[in-house]
Amino acid sequence: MGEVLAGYRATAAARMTELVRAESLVKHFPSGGWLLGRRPPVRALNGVTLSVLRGETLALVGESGSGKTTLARCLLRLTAPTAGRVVFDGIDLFSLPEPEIRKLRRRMQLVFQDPAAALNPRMTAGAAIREPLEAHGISRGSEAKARVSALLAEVGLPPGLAERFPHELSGGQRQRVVIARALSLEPEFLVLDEPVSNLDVSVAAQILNLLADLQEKRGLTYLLIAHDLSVVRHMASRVAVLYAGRIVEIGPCDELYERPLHPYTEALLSAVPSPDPLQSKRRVILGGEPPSPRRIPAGCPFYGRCHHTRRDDRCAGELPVLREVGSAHWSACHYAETLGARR
Amino acid sequence: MNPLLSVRELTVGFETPKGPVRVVDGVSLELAEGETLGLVGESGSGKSTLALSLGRLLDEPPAFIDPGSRIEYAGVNLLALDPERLRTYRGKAIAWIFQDPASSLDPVIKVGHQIAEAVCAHSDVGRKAAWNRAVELLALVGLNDPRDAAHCYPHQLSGGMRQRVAIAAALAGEPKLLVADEPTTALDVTLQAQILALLGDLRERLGMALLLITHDLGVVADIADRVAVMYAGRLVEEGGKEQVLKQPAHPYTEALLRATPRLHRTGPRLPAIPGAAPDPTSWPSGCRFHPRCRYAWDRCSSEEPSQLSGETGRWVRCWLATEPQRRRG
Ligand SMILES: Nc1ncnc2c1ncn2[C@@H]1O[C@H](COP(=O)(O)OP(=O)(O)OP(=O)(O)O)[C@@H](O)[C@H]1O
Ligand SMILES: Nc1ncnc2c1ncn2[C@@H]1O[C@H](COP(=O)(O)OP(=O)(O)OP(=O)(O)O)[C@@H](O)[C@H]1O
Ligand code: SF4
Ligand code: SF4
Ligand SMILES: [Mg+2]
Ligand SMILES: [Mg+2]
Repeated sequence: MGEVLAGYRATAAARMTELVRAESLVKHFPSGGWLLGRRPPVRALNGVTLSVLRGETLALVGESGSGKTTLARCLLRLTAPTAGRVVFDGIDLFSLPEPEIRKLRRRMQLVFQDPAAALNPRMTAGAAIREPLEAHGISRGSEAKARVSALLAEVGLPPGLAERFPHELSGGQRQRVVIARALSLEPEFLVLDEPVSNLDVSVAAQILNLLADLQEKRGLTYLLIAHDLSVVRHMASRVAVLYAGRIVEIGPCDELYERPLHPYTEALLSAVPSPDPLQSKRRVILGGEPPSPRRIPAGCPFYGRCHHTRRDDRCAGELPVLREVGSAHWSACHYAETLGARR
Repeated sequence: MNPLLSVRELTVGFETPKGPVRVVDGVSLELAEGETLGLVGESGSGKSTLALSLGRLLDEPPAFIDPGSRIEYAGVNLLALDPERLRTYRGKAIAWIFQDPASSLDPVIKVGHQIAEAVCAHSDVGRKAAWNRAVELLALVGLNDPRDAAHCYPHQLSGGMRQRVAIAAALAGEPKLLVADEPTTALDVTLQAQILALLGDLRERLGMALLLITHDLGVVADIADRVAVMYAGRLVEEGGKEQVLKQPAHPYTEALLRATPRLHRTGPRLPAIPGAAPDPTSWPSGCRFHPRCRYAWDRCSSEEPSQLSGETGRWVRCWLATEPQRRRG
């Protein structure tokens, strides 16, 4: 059944067209002033190429500091890459004049990790949802009011809630307001940066279901950043694994979970605790830390923590490039094939 | 054998403009030496309040602990102690670690000094010996270069390292009981796995008991011996880890397990629990879970079930225990 589903998803994916593309994105943050001496820059992204297909959910996973948020911010043109391009629906985002950008902005929105920080504490829920409508001159007055009510209903909130301030809302209600606000401009592309990581399990399940419903109804495209790999399993059609600012593996969700082809992905998946107490697991506990983004080693960035039995001198000296190792499944490990074969 | 910690009918609340609100309501639990109890429950159910009240760490007022409550540590009722005596129990008998390691570390003091200070607070040692002990503790929690790490300020360490430092500081008094409130929630999976392995290992080597608070049932499955489930200020179910996770007796536990995303289960829709957690200013009548319970019948909204026990150490606060045939319906 899993295989049938994977096949279905892969062919469905092949028929989909690309909405957003990142080409060889590099993002370096220069180090602070001369007082700190000449420290090397933080290399947050080191050449990331990927496409987000229309109507899909592409998940971005990886350790804290691996560059997930930075990549998302580049895709939304919230930060300029040091090198590389972002193409949204055929348009090069960073060569576009400002007025054109404004129009494009409406088509892409960001939902933050922390709903408390995303809402102005002095603005009611209704005002927060209405604000972008008015700022973009889409509707005002009673028309805007009606749209706010419709949006509240769409995210499962009662209309009376429009009058409440953020501190009068529960965490789940706040996240629904944030989602309603992001939807107000009728975007096609939503970046969800840890949308449920601050929420309780039962509230998170409700929000995830809401996101799935909205995607189906509105044909939305999602880029989902989540550190909870179980959440990703439920939501994503494809998964990209980021390590030290590089994609080390990307592929259809089911395939990647059942047969990871990079040792880092394998370690990530095996680290997830399962609520089924008797499920025996072969744990790979990753020791150490990812390389400092100021001093990324030559060779494979995962070399220092890799448990692959084939790891050797080649790994230390030669940077593995992302290559296709299965259908629509790519890995940046010199010995990806033998990782799969061992199981 | 007497339990290390015995909590009886603990009721903790807060004075609010709307009057007193009881957020932990008649909770009883026990913890044996070296045992790990996982405490799970919905956000707002009172887990942190319970954890803090064990050392009277809440500001009173606005917090209050009902006079009928008992918290016994090794047979001593902590609630009857004067503040001076009570202080000697904190850190040495019971120590705490919290979700956000940043909140328990001072940003302008080297971490080695912070731990050394904690060592000095609990034993009569010189500064040099305390510093050496701090370095030992940093090695114990698995930092690669404990000597270097001791000289770092918190911001120079990664999130996982900071959480290890917080654990090292908590271990400075060699506590018999460690209360860990969501110690890994803020961390990503690989760090979480490291910290859980560390806690499991420390428990084994130091014979420490652990009260682990989490909303992640996977974490509970990983290291707990027993599980207690909290809902709306009440404990609703308790039992061995395997019993509770494999055969949850309380409908809330059952629903929580179903709503938890699994690594090897696909499909975007999760069987979420309908409705929202109740507000402590107005707990529902009868069984507090009844407005959200798929099995509820009239008795549930009028009469609150007591703790109905099955085998030893296993009980549930649910009327289904008396009418099991209703579970199918
Ligand atoms: N404005 C900035 N200035 C300097 N460095 C930055 C800036 N933003 C991010 N970085 C650095 O870039 C790297 C990648 O950060 P990013 O926030 O993209 O990681 P992430 O994968 O989103 O992590 P998390 O899971 O913790 O959110 C980190 O080393 C971070 O410290
Ligand atoms: N100082 C306070 N004054 C009034 N109410 C409070 C205070 N501190 C906590 N509460 C309330 O007590 C209840 C229990 O809170 P507590 O922090 O113990 O929950 P919790 O189970 O730890 O939740 P979480 O999983 O979100 O950490 C909540 O409804 C909370 O709003
Ligand atoms: S290239 Fe070598 S070091 Fe890198 S992940 Fe593969 S086996 Fe490990
Ligand atoms: S007592 Fe009734 S309402 Fe409460 S959990 Fe049991 S079946 Fe549900
Ligand atoms: Mg981020
Ligand atoms: Mg809490």
